[in-house]
Amino acid sequence: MKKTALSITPFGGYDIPGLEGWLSAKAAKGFRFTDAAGPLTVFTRTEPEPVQVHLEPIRGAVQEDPEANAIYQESGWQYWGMFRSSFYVYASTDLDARAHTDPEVWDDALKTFFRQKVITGILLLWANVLLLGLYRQGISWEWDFTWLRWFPVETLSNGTIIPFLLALAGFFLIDLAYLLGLIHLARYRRAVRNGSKTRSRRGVGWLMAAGLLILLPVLVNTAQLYFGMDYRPYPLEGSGFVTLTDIEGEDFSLSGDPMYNMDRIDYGGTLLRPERWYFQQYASFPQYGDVDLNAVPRLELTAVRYPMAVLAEMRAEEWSRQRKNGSLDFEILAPDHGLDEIFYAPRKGGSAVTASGATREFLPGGVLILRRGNTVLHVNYYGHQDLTEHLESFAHMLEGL
Amino acid sequence: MGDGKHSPLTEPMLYVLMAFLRQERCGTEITQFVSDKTGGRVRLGPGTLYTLLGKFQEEKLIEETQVDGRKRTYRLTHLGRTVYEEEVERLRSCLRDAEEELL
Repeated sequence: MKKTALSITPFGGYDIPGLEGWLSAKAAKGFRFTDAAGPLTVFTRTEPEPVQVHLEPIRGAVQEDPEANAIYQESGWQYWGMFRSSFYVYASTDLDARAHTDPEVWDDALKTFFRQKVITGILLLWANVLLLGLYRQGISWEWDFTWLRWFPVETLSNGTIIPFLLALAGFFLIDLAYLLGLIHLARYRRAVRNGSKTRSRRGVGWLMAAGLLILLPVLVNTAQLYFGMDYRPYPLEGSGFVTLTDIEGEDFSLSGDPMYNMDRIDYGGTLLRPERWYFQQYASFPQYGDVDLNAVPRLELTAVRYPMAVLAEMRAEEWSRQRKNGSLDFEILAPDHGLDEIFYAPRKGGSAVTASGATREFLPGGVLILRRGNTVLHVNYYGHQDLTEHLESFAHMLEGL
Repeated sequence: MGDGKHSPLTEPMLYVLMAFLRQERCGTEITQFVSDKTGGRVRLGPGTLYTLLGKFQEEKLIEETQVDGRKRTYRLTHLGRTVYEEEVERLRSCLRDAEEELL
């Protein structure tokens, strides 16, 4: 038999009578309180014992108070531990024992405790603002909600909307539980002053537990962002990525500018943002003067790995509905080289005269969308080669991701 | 002079201050003092005593003189004595009024 047991605290963190009654009932069943952190309470298995439990609000620093323990022990109470950073937990086998014998003093202690918790509540609100603000920055509501309708997977995997919505829901539940706790504490104080009783409400603790559970992935995600774990580039060499040289030939001259000719694969992802890869290469072009980058051969690769194949399938379909700079409608090619889906949209080249009278050249090329399992790859190419001739290379590259 | 904000004191408050009048005491000795002094009439729960020691110390009615393991010893301050004396005077006055009405 296990010596310890965990339980979700069903009562609000400041529902003193509710918590005292619950801890007493647990002790009568052989579970003695040991510790409480977040929504969980830890018990040690003991012999069932009818006891009276009292929660004494912690004053000042959150640490064990030897003097309080000595005073309680002198009166026959045993110290059991700290309940979160709010209460010292004492128990007495004398069911008629009273920890507080002066309602005015007890009211005074509760008043101080209430003020402390209001300040903590303000800090909680501040945490709300900080975390929601962090993810809100990356959201343009108008843009995202229009896109959410037509391109849900792309929009939801942008790394901001899901954390924002989770943080919103999590904080709503936690704030609600906190507010209900404060209201209950205020009612209990009034009952102490009036000598009446209050009703405890089971379930407030579940609200907090649910809120924390929802918030947990957001906190992990935030930590990953904070420690830079969302961006982990690695060298192009040995990456298995298809390059512009692979398509255009060995003698093809690439740009010497590292911004246009990446020597690395941009790679990243967090708990709430799918793994993604990005790589681009441009052919060499003059660094000075009026350069039209549309006329420069280039290759741009974007890959995303989703937790489920169905999401990758949806993303491929969403991509296939987007036209990229003059690309034509996508045609669906028969699956090959171990790929599950292949979409291809060729692009016609040509030239056009701009308003200033200059002639602009537009390179042909095309867009390929490939899916293998839960990974989807978007290839955007400007140049004179036929992308479909390199399907096997792209399939091999996807396999290696 | 006291600041008047402590008056009237409840019985436990009065007896806890009384406990420090003649000697320094640690918290655990006070319960016994109050019980002996009142013949068990005034019950001082550990929560009440713990809260009062913190409150009185915060309000500078008592001050800590020694920490020995789990024991903290306190003594009455000048302000504490004044508050106590003012309360005793208030109670005397109440008692005088009450006795006059009995005659």
